[in-house]
Amino acid sequence: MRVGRIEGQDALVGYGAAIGAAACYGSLAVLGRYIVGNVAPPLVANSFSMILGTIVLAAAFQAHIRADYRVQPSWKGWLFVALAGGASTWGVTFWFLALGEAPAILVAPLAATHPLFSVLLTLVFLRGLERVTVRTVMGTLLVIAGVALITLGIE
Amino acid sequence: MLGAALALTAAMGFGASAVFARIGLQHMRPTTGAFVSLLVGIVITLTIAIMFHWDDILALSGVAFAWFLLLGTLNFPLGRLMNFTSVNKIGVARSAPIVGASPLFAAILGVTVGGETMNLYIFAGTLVIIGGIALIVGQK
Repeated sequence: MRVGRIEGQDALVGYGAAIGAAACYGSLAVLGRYIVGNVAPPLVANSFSMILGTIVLAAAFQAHIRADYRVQPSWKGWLFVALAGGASTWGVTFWFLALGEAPAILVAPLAATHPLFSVLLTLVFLRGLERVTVRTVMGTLLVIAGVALITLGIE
Repeated sequence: MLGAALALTAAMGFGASAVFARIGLQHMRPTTGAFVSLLVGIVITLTIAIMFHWDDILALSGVAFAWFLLLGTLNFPLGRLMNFTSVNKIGVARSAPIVGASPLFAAILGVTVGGETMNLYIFAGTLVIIGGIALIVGQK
């Protein structure tokens, strides 16, 4: 599937889901700050919340997961979603390590540059699959600048 | 310097995750993709947590698990699944910057619920993020 024009329901669902994910992750920052400060260390909170979240996900979407398992997607599918999980965990782990070495005011804006890495990696590895436009790059840079400003405002 | 390098390494991990997901999700649904990615994450984080925080794990109370359930439900069945769905529907290049705007929502919550005050940085940052998202969403 080559991404060029994204229209109709795909665009609505895709952009809606992206904004929904951002809202969830934003709320997590507030909730997570309380839990890490009052309930458990970051790695413990992350691993146990991941276990419970996975159980909820599996219970809610077991029909989808079973159906995908039955049709046996290619090894490439399993490998790359597993790598996605590993890379995300890598990110979280290094985020906590960074916070142990430097103040949040430095760590947060630098870690917030991750969309830029996504766009750069897309340019290198997903050339046949996605089109990266000048508007996308400019929009990404603006979002990163905005996140840095908000981080400064909060800190 | 080390802290900055570690933070950039974290950003690379988050950035690569979306790209890997984009490739993998060509072969399966976002729900299954999120499930498999979480299983891998559990193995890694639980191993590290057991190695460094065994005493803290033994001391966890029942209330702690209620908090973990809330955190886990918000983060994974909701956050990661919507993240994977957006990557699948609109691609990494458009999805990642929008998902990356999450501090905007943290600031909105902080101001509206947490009683924090809106200052010039937060106001300017909000406008800049909205402008960036508008640029991405507005393209054909």
